[in-house]
Amino acid sequence: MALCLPFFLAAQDKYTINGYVKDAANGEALIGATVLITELGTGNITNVYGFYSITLPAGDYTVEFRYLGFVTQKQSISLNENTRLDIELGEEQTALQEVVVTARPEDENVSSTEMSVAELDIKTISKIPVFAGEVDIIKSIQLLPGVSSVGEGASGFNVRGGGVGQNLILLDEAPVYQSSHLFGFFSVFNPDAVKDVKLYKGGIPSRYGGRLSSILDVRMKEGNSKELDVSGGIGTVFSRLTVEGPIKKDKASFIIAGRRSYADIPIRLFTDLLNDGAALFFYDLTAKANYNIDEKNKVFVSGYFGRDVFKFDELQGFNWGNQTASVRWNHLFNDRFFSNFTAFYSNYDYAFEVGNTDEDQFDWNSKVQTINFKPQFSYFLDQRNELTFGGELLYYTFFPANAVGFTSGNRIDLSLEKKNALETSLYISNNQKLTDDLSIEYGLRYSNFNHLGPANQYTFGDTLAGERKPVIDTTRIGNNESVAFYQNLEPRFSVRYKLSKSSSVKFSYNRMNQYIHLISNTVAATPIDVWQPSTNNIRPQQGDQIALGYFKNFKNNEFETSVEAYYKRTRNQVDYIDGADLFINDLLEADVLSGKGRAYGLEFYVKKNAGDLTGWISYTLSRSELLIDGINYLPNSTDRAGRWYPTRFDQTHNLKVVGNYKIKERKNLSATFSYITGTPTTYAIDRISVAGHVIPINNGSRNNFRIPDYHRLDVSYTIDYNWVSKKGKARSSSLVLSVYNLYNRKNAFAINFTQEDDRVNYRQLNNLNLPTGPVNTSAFETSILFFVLPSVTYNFKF
Amino acid sequence: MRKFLYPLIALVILSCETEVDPTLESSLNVLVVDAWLTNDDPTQHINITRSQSYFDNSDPVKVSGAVVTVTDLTDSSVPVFEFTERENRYTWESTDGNPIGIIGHQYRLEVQVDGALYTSTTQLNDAPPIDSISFRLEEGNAFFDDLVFGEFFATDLEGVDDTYWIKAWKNGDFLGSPGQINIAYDAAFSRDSDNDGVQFIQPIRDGISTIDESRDEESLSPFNLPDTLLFNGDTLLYKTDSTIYGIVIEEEIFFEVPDVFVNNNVPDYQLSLPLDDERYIPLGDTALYLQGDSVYVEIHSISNEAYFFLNQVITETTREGGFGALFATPLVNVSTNIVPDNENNIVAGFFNIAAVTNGGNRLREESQIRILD
Repeated sequence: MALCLPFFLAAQDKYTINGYVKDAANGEALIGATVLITELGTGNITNVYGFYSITLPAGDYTVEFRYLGFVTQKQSISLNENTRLDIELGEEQTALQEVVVTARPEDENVSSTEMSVAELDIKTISKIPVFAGEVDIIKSIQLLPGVSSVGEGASGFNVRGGGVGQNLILLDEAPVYQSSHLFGFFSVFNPDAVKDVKLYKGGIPSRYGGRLSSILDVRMKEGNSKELDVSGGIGTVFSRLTVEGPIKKDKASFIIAGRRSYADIPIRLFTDLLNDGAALFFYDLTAKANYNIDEKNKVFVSGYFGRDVFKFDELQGFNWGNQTASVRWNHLFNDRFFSNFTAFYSNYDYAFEVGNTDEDQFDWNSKVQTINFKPQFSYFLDQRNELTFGGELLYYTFFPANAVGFTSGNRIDLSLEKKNALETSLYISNNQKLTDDLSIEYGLRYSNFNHLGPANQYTFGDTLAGERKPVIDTTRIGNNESVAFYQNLEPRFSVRYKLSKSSSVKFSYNRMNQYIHLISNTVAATPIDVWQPSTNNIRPQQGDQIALGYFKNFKNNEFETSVEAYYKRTRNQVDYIDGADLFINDLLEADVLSGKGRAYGLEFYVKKNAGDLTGWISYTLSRSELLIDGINYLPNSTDRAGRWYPTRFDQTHNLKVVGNYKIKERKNLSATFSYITGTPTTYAIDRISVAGHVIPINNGSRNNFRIPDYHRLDVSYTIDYNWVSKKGKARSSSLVLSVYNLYNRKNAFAINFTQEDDRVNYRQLNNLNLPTGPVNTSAFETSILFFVLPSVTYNFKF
Repeated sequence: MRKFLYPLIALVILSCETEVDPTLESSLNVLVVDAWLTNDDPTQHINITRSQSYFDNSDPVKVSGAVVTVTDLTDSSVPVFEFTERENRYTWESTDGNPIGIIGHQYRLEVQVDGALYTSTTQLNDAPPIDSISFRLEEGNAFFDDLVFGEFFATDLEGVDDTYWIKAWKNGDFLGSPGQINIAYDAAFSRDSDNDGVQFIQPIRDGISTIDESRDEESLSPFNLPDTLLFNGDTLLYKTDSTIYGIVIEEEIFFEVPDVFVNNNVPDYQLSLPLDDERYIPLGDTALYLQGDSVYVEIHSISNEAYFFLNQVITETTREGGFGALFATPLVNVSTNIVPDNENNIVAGFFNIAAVTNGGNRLREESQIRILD
């Protein structure tokens, strides 16, 4: 399976058909549309920019352009020269919104070499109001196999037993470090501006890297290039407004989409609670513009800006947010050679302000900035080979803490030095159709990471596992010298064998490396977690995954089914010593422990694509564990050798059922049911009385119990109104009535071992001669969003 | 750090808590050595107990028959301090009135019990004097009414790695709830040369004030001036030697509180009801608010290990329910500096010997309250 060199194999009697496939209604590029050569029964699929290229011997062909939910177009061509075919597909007349749950090419799940991909197109996502009547990308993704979250209020998501910090979230190629608004109740992506969402859980192509678990690739709309569109929604928690339209018809278009929550507005109107400068809201703004310079060149500029703001008064508050900006240039070197160059800037930061006056004030912020340049190339070699290659240059700047305090006017600067790092990678892969039934994709990614000075490089002495390591040497590393350098090769491989027209088996292997680490030891990831680059002490995380899957469609693709099994092994997983100090700590590395992990599972998926009733059932049986010395050791173990313990996000059973029923024209009922095994937690066993306090202890076990199982049913009812304006424009609006947690289940988020606050008078205590007075200790179950939450949302499009 | 999040946690009311009764593993019955000695009292106590099941709310029971000694390792001429078993504790009483402890000396604790030996070594470090204690008005905002904070002023001793435990008493009651542990690493919360030798930072200075909640969940000012007027609905107090009684005034009466009243000598003639009238309600330890609140503060020097231990105690004993659960870390065992001679013997607890400095103040009149610009 030697890689073929692309430039020398173009046989002379072969010609290329290429072009873009777009939606006729708004000019949006269609991602993953099928371009089929009828005579040969083979073809290709458009890439994320809607581009395709097929090289064939000269001859007469019929080319079919297919996209589910759209009218298939056929074009007959006599191929005797390279031919450009840009196609616009029109939507099927049967009101698409109500019939079709997916807009993916038919049987892609069976025929593609990709596996372990969780894919939801925006039309499907928009059918499932997941919370407060609002559509949400990340909450919807969690309804698919292998994807989960530890509960309401938890930021981020977990993929195949991986941590929240092991997902790479890309918005138009730029990384987004925090995917949550309002502690995970909403995700930062405005669904009105999103075109396509794809989550790679395994078999990750070599063009992606940098995280162990998954890649969430979110693509924004380009904006309607035909006519001006205004759409939006008024919801219970926030409102949305999107404006999109041509700058120059069919040449250039833009989209601007904004959201803002308004819990604070009625509070402000009817009470004086927020008069002292207090505030509570979030907003985000997504904007994008593109310009078709000519047939060979296109540029895209996109940006995202979002923020959550909590202010207690003028001087005190807490806020966080992401900003990204990216510029992309699509260039066709020739008919078969597609390229994209991306440059982006991404920033995530959070800030606290506490204090009462300028004299006594504490301000603290933390951020991570990334600048990147990423050239990507696709060479459509011939009918059987599609070569992709490219590279990536990432420059990180971490500001772990800028913390300045004033104590009676004296300035105290607790800031930590910023950290710089350069991550470079090169990749190549080939998607090869060996026979009509057998396809393979093989690739290699080389990555390296250089943590650069100026910085202190610490050397730690040995200590008992799980104890804070003592510093024995500190070396000052100069500007642009290396604190730590790592490099790795990451092989990627996947194969698909078609058993029949409607079934296939697939196998994949991937190795991933992760050089930056999300430092978090809370029950759920939170917005204040800090990113830490690898150092001489914290080694890059590495993971290998194999996955095997069987895919079968029934009844002409009406039903899609799949079963996948995966096994993952990870190294250099991060955990922390007991009592670790993770914030504003120069010597954080001394508190970090390292060990290995394993995760395995079985994922079942059945999806019904057509008919009045559509939806899917997803079930995952899985396990996710860590083995780290210094954690979960036997109480009398002298070396504190760790024993395997389940991760906080280990969920044995995870069942999701999503149904969408068309009652009649324009009236839709949808329901979502979740059943998840309770997540592991650490229980106390005993209490001791020391230093006048009652303290819980256990036998050193980590995550030795589980909170009660989680289950919940949400329903929503949507009424659509469609009409045609006087100018002949199609207009629509819809009313969404939804109920979250319909049967009022009080799901546990955590179990806390607590004690009453009241204490016996100290003098009395001395008289009693007791270490502590009577203190009542008990356990409490915390539930977040424990009630039935009805909501109303009105959506419109003018 | 989590302190900064508390207001945020209070804001979000999307969560609830329910008491549950999970089945726990059977008790570990671990030996607990609780030895926090001070150099300011000629009577010192050490508790030797065992761990008990988490839901067992009974008082810990003393382990009998232990031999408990403390030795000055720096000066071998100092006789060994022998603690003897008394009631619920092991106690040492000075014969000459001098307490244990010379600053800079190393001390070793030995506990022999059930045929096993447990030891621990620590050093007695110095504590800085308290310069002053004052009161400050914290103007109300959306979430609080005006509050009066008590604040102590002291300067961290020169040299990094001084660690302290600041203890406070309000009206004689020790602020000993889990959330009231107030510790300092130099003048702040972490090792940083910027924190060395300067005045304690405000969160530590303010740590002697606690905002309690009234029954209707309103925030109560940590410190209050003496009430000079009584209104309908107020409680009139009557005090015996051991208990304070009160009665809710039912009529609209206004009267100046005489000096003798403010001084906490509630005169009998103020009471128009016989003392055994059922309308008097025993108030237990309710503050004598007719008097103006007092605050008493001690700075205890502690070892760095004890600082980290107490930091862990804070984490493990102040588990926020509700939305705070998002920020909770997994339950872990607090550290110990007690070493068993045989590693199969599991032990918990801590040994520290502290130098103590102190100061106090009482809020008598409005002019004492500092108002910030």
